[in-house]
Parts: sequence; C-alpha cells; structure tokens
Amino acid sequence: MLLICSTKKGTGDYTSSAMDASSEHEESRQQDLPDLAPVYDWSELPADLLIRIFVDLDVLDLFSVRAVCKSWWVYYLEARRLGPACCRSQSPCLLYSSNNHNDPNTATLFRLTNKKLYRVTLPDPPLPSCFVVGSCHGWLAIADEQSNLLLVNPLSRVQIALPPPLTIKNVRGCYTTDGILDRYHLLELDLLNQDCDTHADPYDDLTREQGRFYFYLRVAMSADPSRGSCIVMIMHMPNNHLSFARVGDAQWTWIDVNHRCRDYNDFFYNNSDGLFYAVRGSGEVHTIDLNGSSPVVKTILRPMVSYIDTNKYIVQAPWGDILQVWRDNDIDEEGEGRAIQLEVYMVDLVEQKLVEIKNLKEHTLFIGFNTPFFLLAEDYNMLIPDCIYLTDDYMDYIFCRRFNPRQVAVFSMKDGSFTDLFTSSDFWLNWPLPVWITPSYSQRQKRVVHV
Amino acid sequence: MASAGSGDEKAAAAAMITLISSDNEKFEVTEATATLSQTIRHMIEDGCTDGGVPLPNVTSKILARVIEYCKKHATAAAGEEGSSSSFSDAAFLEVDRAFLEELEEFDDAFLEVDRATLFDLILAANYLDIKGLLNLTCQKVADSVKGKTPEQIREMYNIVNDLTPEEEAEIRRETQWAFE
Repeated sequence: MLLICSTKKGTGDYTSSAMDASSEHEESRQQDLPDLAPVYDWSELPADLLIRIFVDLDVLDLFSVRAVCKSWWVYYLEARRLGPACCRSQSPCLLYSSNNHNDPNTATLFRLTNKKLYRVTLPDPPLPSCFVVGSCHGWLAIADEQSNLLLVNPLSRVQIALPPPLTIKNVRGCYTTDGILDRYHLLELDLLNQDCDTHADPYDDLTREQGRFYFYLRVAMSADPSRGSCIVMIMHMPNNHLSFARVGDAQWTWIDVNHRCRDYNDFFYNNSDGLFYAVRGSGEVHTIDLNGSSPVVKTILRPMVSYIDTNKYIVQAPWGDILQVWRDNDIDEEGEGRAIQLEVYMVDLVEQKLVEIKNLKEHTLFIGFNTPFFLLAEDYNMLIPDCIYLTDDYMDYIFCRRFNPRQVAVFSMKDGSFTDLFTSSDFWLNWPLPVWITPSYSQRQKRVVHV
Repeated sequence: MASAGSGDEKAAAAAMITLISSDNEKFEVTEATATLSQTIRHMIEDGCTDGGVPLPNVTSKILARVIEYCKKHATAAAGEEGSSSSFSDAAFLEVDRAFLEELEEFDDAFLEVDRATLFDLILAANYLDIKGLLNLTCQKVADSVKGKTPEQIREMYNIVNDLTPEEEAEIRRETQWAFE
C-alpha cells in the first residue's frame, strides 16, 4: 500500500539552517497569499513552458496568443521557428468568399471545431474572380481569369505561380491581330503516338476565362510548396489526362507512359513511398513514380467496373489502407446538383478487389476539391466520427450553373443520410467554390514569378 | 534480472521519503510516488535525500496537490507492472481500460482549479520534472485559449497589453487576419 502523511512543521527531524531561514520568509509570504493571488503574471511564464503550451495550439489560435502581449509575441516567433514540430494541431475549416464588395480580397474561414468565423485578406487576384480548384497542405490552388494556376497560402499570403496554361501539352493560343492572347484551343491527346492529335479539329475552343474549367479538374501537391521540392499534379481535359510540374519549372509535363494514362478521377501523393496514387474512372489504381528522369506508371489494381457512373476519390487512411470513395451526383427537382450516394471501399492489393467498408474507425473524412484528408474525430470538438464532410465538386453542374447554391454536407456512413451544414439561403456559398482547408502558416519560399 | 528487479520494487515500495515545502511543511511519501518526479529521482540516486528533500520553490498547498497527483499515477504505474503477469491478456485489457478511464476522470477533476493554482502547478511540475503533470496542466492552458480573441485571453489571465502600436502594426502586417 502507498502511504502519504502530512506532518506539521517542526515535528520532523529536518535541521537545515538554510531551509529554516527561507521558510521564515516563505511563512510571511504565505500569509499574504490571498492578496497576492491576482498578480500571478501569466505574461512571465517561462519561455520553455509557454512554447510547450503554444505547440498544442493550431495556427488560428497561435495568431490570437501572439497578439496578447510582448513576451507572448516573442515566444510565438520562437515557437514558429520550431517549424513543423510547432502547430501539429490542425483545424478543419471551410474557406469561402466573404462576399464583401468593398473588400473582395477577404475570405472567410469557418472553423468547424468551434463554429467561429475568421476573416483573412488574400493577395490579388480578388477571390471572387478565382476558380478554387484545390487545397492541400494548407495552401489553396486557384485559377485566375486568364486561367493561370496559382498556389496561395491564405495565412502568410505567400503566392506561388505555376507554369502558364500554354505549356500544357495540348493547349494552343489564339492571338488577335495585335498579337494579344485571345483564346485557347484545346487539342485531343493521343497516347499511342505520345503527342497531340493535330489532324483532328480542336476538342474545344475556349475563352481565356473558360480555360480554367478544362485545365484544372483536380490539383494536388506532393508537399508544402514552400518547403523544398514540391510536385504539383493537374488533371485536364479532354479525357482526364495528368500533367505535372515542380515548383519553379517553366512548363507542365504530360504523363504519357502508356495508353491507360487517361480517364483519371483523383490522385494523391503518398509520403511513405514517394509515389503518386491515381484512380481511374474504372476503379483501376496506378502508382506514378516521378522521382527518376522520366515517369514510371504501374497498375496496382486492375479495373473494377466497365461502366463508369460515379466520381471516384482515392485517399490513404491513417491506418494504412488505400481507400476509394465513390460519389454519385445528380440534379434534384429544384435543378441543384447534389451528391446522392457515397460508398467507401478498401483496396485489397493482394486479392485484387475492393471491399466495401461501413465505418472509418472513428475518423472523419473530408472530400471536395481539396485533397481528401482524415482527422480522428475524438481529437476535434464537433466532428462526427464515421462521417464524410463533403463540398460540391460536380464539375459539369458548376460549369453550367456557376452561381447556384453549393452543397456543403455531412454524410453519415451509419445510416446513409446527408445533412446540410448550411442552408441554401447562404447565398455566399455559391462562388467561388467553398473548399475544406487545414490552415498552416508557411512563408519560407520567396515569391516565384514567371516572366 | 527480472527477479532482482521485483526485489528492488518491494524494497522501493517500503522506502519512504520526506518532502519539505517552501513553508516548511513535511510530507512523507513512498519512493514510488516521489520518483514520478525526475528531479527527486535523481536526488535519490545521488543519495541526497537523508533528512528530507527541501523543495524551496513549492508551497505546501501546491505540494499537497502534486503529491495527490503522483500518488494516483504511481498506483497506475504499479498496476501496469503487476497486472501484465497475473492476468490473461483479455482480462488485463479489461482492467486496463477501466483503470485508464478512472485515471482520466481523476485528471479532469484534478484540473478543476483556479488560474493561480494552475499557474503554480505548472511551475511545480516543471521544477519537479513530472512529465505527465506538466503535459496535463499545459494542455489545460492551451484548451482554455482555444477560439479566444487576444482581448479575451488578456482578461482571462490578467495580462496587460504592453505591445506598442508599432508592434501591433507589425503583427497585423504579418497576417491580415481577424475574427469576424
């Protein structure tokens, strides 16, 4: 048994004179304690302890604590220098336009965990003019009105320009008599000849603004683009081909390894093996190795269906499995495009099959234009386990009905129900497209501008 | 080695250590409880505990709370060691889960203190190098500021804003960010 007994002062055998002297002093202080209590100065908490507290905060809370007083600001800067060790905590947010006509550069972050709204000011171009095509590692991928792709960190406001659309293999420019770029011609791609089909008519003739709906159906990054080497992958029309560029590259590189390198739906970068994983409409899964001098594509799961009727996502679960999420969209009686069914499958690489799963091991999954990500529900207030939080990414519908309401909903895997997170009267949710993001503050990269 | 280890544990369980607070109050605790503090563990290893361990940075009020925490968590540590050999795996897991839940409830109740006490507990946990208690108390502070504005945090912790207008402007420049 464990015993603890408190003995009154003086009854023990302790005889240190130094201690006695200090205890007298302490005694007088002790009597004053009730009066002293309010002057506990939290601004003077030792640096290492304060930094330890800051490490448990996500980036939005860090922005609050740094503005409390001078010493907290200094320690915040110190904590930030710790880099990724700091800010382990992520906050899932929905980012959308603040719809403020006086200040079109502001965006709203709706933090799911405490239902608080934060306003962030983005650099030009103004958000309402942009097509939000992705979010990954706390960065937004946006396409401006000339269909240029940019990566923006909404907190540090650092912006990184990616190669211009004219460097995509099958995009050609049409110029005015004054030599000004006027329209884009999108050509068919021929994987057998590894080239554009220049004999056929262009697949489409697009205004500079329309291009972005054809060039960036999906965007993902291999890493935080401000930290070292980052590969950005895009999926483009026709037939959902993939191209990639490293941050700093001058042009996009088309992935033309074999005749199956098309009809993709989604892709992500797997940190543990350094490969991109891409899913095709048929459920077939490819790994794409971009580490060597030329891309290597391997089929790791054979096609699962011949008739493609759902939009597919691919994601690695925190427990290691590769999952596919199949999403069925439809236009309802009010003319609004909505997800009507979601199914989740575990990819069984050994048996070469998909196994439907009915729970996410207490996790929450986020899908939409963002690169899909998981969070453990119990670590975050308000998140519902075994649910999929989704935003509208139904491209055909978005292209035709740009200012229609966007679905932002929670799908329960338990009962198959959809619950809207916002009502359709929240008109600000239409354009630009609301997107899930886990904000992070990164700024090391100097601005990369293509000339 | 294993048998020698269990012999030592029995000896350790019996050994008592006297801790002396800054206001000279004495607390007699088992070595198992006291050694949750790395600071005290090192003093014991160095043989510096004869006549008691003076803790001039910790008041009796706070030391009593710290000992309460260590006592509970030392029981937990002892429980883990003892159970692994005497229970079947399934039974052990069951006991383990129940005990962990109890421990969690204890920790929650333990943190129901005013901010002054919390401040002292953090400093004591740091000085005594009690990792679990330091994590627990720091997490409590972190949780309390989540979702708060700088003004709310200042009010909650009695902090005076000593930032100059220039510094505030610099902070704003760093990120154009605000609560809506």
